[in-house]
Amino acid sequence: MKNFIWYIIIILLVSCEKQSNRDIQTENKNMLIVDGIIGSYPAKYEIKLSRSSETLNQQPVAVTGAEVIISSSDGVHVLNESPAKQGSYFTDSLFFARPGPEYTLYIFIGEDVYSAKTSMVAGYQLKPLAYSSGGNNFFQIIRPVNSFSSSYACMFKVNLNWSHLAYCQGNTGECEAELMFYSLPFVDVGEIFPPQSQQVFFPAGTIIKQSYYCLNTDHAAYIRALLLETTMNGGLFDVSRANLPTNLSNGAAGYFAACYIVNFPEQIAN
Amino acid sequence: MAKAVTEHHIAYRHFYCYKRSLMTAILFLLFSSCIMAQDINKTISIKAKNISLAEFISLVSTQSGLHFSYSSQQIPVNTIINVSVKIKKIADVLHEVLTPLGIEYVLVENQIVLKIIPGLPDNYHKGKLQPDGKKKYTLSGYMKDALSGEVLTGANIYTSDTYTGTSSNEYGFYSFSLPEGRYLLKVSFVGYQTLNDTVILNKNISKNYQLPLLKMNIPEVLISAEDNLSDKAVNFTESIRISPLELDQLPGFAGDIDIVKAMQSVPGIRTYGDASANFYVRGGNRDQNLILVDDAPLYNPSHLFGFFSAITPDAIRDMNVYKNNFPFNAGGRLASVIDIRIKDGNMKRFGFSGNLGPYTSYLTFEGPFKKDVASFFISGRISNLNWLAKTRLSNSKKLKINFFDLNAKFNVIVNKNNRLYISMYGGQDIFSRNIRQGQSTFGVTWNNILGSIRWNHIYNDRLFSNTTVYYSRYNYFLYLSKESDNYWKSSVSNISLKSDYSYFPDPSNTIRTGIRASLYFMDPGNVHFGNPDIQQNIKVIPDGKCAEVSVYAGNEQLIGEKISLEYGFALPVWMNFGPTTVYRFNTAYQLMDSLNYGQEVYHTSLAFDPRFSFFWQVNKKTVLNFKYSRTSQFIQIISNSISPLTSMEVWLPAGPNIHPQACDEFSTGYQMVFKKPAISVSADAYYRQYYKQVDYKDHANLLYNPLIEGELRFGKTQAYGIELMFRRYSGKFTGWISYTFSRAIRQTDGVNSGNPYPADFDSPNNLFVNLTFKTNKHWVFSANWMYLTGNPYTLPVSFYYFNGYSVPVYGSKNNGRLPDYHRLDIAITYNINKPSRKYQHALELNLYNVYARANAISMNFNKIIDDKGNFVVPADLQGNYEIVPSVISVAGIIPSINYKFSF
Repeated sequence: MKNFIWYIIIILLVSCEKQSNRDIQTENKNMLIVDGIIGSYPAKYEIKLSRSSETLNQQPVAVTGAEVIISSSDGVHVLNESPAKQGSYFTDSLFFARPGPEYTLYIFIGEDVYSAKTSMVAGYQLKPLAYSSGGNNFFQIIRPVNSFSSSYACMFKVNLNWSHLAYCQGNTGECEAELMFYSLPFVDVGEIFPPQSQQVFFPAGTIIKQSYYCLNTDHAAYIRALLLETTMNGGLFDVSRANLPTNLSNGAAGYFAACYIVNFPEQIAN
Repeated sequence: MAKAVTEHHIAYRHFYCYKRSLMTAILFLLFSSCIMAQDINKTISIKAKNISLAEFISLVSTQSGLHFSYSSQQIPVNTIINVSVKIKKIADVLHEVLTPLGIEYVLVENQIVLKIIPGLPDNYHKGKLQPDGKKKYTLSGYMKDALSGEVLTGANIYTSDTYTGTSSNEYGFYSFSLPEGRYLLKVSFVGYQTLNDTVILNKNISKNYQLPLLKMNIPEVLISAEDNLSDKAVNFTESIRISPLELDQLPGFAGDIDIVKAMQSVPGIRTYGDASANFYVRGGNRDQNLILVDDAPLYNPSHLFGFFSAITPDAIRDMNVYKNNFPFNAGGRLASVIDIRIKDGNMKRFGFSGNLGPYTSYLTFEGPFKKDVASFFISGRISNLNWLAKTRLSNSKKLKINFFDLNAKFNVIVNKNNRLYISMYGGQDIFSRNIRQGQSTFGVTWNNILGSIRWNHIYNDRLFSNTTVYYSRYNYFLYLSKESDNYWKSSVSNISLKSDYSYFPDPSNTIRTGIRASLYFMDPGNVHFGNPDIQQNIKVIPDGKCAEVSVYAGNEQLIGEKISLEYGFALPVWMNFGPTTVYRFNTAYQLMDSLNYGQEVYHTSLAFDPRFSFFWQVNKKTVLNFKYSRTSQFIQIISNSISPLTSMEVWLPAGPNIHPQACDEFSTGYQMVFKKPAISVSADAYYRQYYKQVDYKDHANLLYNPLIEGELRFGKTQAYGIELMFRRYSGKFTGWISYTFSRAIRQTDGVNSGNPYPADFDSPNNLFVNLTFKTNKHWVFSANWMYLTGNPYTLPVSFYYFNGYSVPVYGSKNNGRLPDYHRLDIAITYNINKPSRKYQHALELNLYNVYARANAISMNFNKIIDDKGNFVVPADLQGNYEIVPSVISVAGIIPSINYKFSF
């Protein structure tokens, strides 16, 4: 009887999701996509350039041969394209940004010039994200609780690596993962009632590297829009869909940001 | 006949001899009565001018074989009359001809005996048969249900010859004036037996009518445009009436009859689809529909995110749907008015009714405090979903899901001129989920609380008033942590006073006027923290406080017998008052500055809403109409949700940054009703232009945002359509087909590059088919099939990767559509007792979405399939995954078996 009731409630209340075979009309927009963050400590920062694709799951086409410059009151910095990683342009390892100046990214591709402006907010102290047991000696990162009233916005990047464990030696699955978590000063229905998300469990002994990025207002708005179109999208309470905002000019998409970045010491899950 | 009577006597003589003979005697007794009744019910046709009453009697006798008996000294047999009847029952013909003459008939043995109606004035038969046209007198009173004493809204009373008459108002009151004379009146209402009555109008008369229900408690017309399909073929009417008896026959969702889903059968009204309480009328948005429950507005008509509607079907006495030219006293919305009247309570006897089902159960109790003077009604419903707490589903997720609602009403007839009603409604939803044991339970709760006190007063035979004080409040809580008492809350409430007056100077005019004053309070969403230290540092979104005063006046005017006009206006004045902070934005919607106001009116809006209707009764079967109306709206839901389900809702008033919305509508309609065959056909066409429609910038931040008004954009919507309906309203098979072609195109600066786009609820083709088959007194089969063009949807045209996320690039707004929606519902009802029994109970099997059509509510391009086969959003951004396009639907086939009972 219980099973019957459970079945009934499932069909009544729980949505049914199926693969869609419906064709959609696509077009080759060939938009320049910029994905880059410069940080607050000296390091090689990466600006990725690619093109939009016409179909879903199509690997992005890297944009090579571009001239990439970051300019600010502190000076002009030319980025170099990595020969090993097409479409990635790196600063030198001494480069860093700081709160105060406005940073302008210039990208020259043939005749086309693209630009984006950004600035950094001052950093603040946060605690690393905790993890909890997911059972069977596996763990899971606990998502930060959104207070909705915070005056700051941040994102956490969590690298998990368990490739060194014996567990992974005979395992053909993934042995590392990169997770992003956000604490934004917004309330959205999609955050409260999100679609089901991929569960990432990691075994004891996993090396956890955490860092957090302090976001300025525009960057936070961009991240919110990004989440609305990706991780918050596809639940039962979707909102109107729209293209992401951008700080890039000339029809490019993506975002160029400057963030105060804090790296936490490595942890070993146990 | 003679043979039957003889057998009857024989049977009687042997009464004490055999038991079997007793049975035989009873059967024959019944049989003989039947034969007489059958003769009286035979049909005849007579067409004659200027014949004497004696000649008429002779004609009837010849055609029917019936014998008449009368005293020629008492009965004015030389009276000259005109008769024109075609295939009509003898009983009806006799009543129609004789009653105006002050004559009644009785059946004695096999004779029809004619007698003078007792109590007539001495000079009655010497007076004129026709009205003299000089002095006018008023006939007024109430229309009631004979069994329960409930007042009837929209019941017709009219003279049988000229069809001059009126309809009872929402309180059951009617009034009309006629020249002095005697009249044969017909009193009729859908689902009730038609009454014939003779009135000698030589003074103002107050008379109440009590209409008995049809023997089979099954109406012949499901959705009626208030044309009771009696001799008065079509009415001049603005509304579409849905009665509870009619609702009861529709297949319901999970066994619950749903007022919103019932409305989807009305052409021009479009619901969202499965599990949604959202509905859209003629291109209007969902917040442009005003739902009134005993005059008080119901802000959220849904339970369980929209799976169930908020009002228990058992509590509804009457529901009128106005798609345009709303009642003068019910303004404030652009698209429609749904006027729901809760049952008053049985004035005659105690009764109860209920429904036991797998998903919900409800119980109703009603009765008189004092017979024919005061009564009460109370009805409650609870969801049966609590057992989820004991299922595997909730054990893993700690899910709680529950809702209830309660209707209560009390009414008292203080005296013949005063009546008082007090009604209350409360409903609540609770949905929560424990994320971390004992630490974090989040969820949503919403509740509607409303009540009204109404006073009906009859100043004199021609002046009726209703004064109502009503209150309504809607709260929405989003609990971030129940344990810590942290929540987000929004609310809207109003307290109002309105006084309406109906003046009936003559049968050709009904003047309505009144005034309404309201105070509105809106909390656009604030966060509350249990920890006072946090609470004192959080931002506060200012409340909206407003007042509205509206005066209105209009006249319903008959010009001759064939033309009816309705014209009038409403003049609403809207005022915003403080204390509050108003943010000002520049033309690019950037914040310029803010102004703090004290307790003062800081902004005023004024509107003028004229309306005009023209009806032309082309012939007895056909009516044409043309209508124009302008409406204004001052409050709106701020939500960019594209989900069919109710979620976090914010209401905001018009003010310095939000202009009042307005709508102009032009419409024309055509209606034909045939008695044989029993069918009707209607067609309507409309054009609407909506102004200052609320729209949103991309990814608008609408919750807990002090600058929410800067997220809004304002545009216009053009809506037009054709609505067709064909129905068969009598016979074993009844039903209807309605089809609507409609478009709603929106254009807003700052949205979709300023280009026009289909509104989210634009759905060009809607088809609804209902079929009901009654086999006998016990079985009723009913089926609905509906089809809707898929909702507009914004689809991607390209993709890119950003920081591991697959990001869609959209084309123009609403550039695609979801797959078309269609669904078949079936209901099979077995009435266990015969309709004549006092205790009625029935078993009802409902199958919602019989062929399990997976009607999509969304299309997604952001999910992968995990190891368990679930569609999930990827979390590992460095992982190698393949996005799989998917569609979500919310309801498969939903069976339910309900047991319904009433006493």
